[in-house]
Amino acid sequence: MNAIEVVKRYVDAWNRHDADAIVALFVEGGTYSNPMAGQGLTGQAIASFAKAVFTAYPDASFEIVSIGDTGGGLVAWQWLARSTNTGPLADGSPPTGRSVTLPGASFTQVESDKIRSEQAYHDRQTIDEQLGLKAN
Amino acid sequence: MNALEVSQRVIDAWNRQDADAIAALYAEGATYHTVRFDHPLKGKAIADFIKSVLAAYPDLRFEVISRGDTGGGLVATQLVLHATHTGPFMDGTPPTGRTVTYPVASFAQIEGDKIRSEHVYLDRQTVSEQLGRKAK
Repeated sequence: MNAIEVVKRYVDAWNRHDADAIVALFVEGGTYSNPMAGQGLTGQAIASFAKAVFTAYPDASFEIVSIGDTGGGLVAWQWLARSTNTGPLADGSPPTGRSVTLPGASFTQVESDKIRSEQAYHDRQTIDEQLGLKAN
Repeated sequence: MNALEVSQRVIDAWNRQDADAIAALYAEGATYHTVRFDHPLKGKAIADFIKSVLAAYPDLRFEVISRGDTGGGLVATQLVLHATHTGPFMDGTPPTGRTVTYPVASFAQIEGDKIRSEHVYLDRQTVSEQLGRKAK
């Protein structure tokens, strides 16, 4: 399986809302980072973050806008997340019922059939604005 | 000149704080997409934006973390922006004197020796926090 196929499989797991499958695609000690989750999550912390997303946004879906291997299995991909906030947010606040369309980009380092690290880039303020929440 | 060399030229021009040289690397009709605007910038608007960034951050320097061609001249770059906020922002906000260090991802479609379109990803909340001001 090439690196791009590994990432597509990973995005499929996000689209199935399968937190265990997401974690299983990381190597032991593999890390996940984004501005909301924080830096360097591993193992069950990745699963907990994914589950919090699926709880707050039960219809969350992820579309790949572009994807390519920049060399050495570092896959760079642009994505678009679409969702409706119909469940409680991670901080316990009630659902807003609003839709969120969030563009982002990820750099995913693949080693053989697993992910060594993913660094995602997105704008938290976009989420707050679309939810009608005040930014922190 | 290959796509990666064009991308490096853009970074070199930023690191010389040479707004005209940066703007000249965008093709006629090129588009620049950033979360800071709700529409893509074109032509003079790109040049004006570059000037405004350098006015606010006269010592701006981009550090390249990774770069590669994802195929067909679409160059994905992970960057860290280092700068001191010693000039006013476009909206007239006075300088804070603070130092910012934040991650940026760029996906630039290169054609020949110019950029045809670029999508830039960053987290405005991270920037606001580093500047010690409330997000808008």
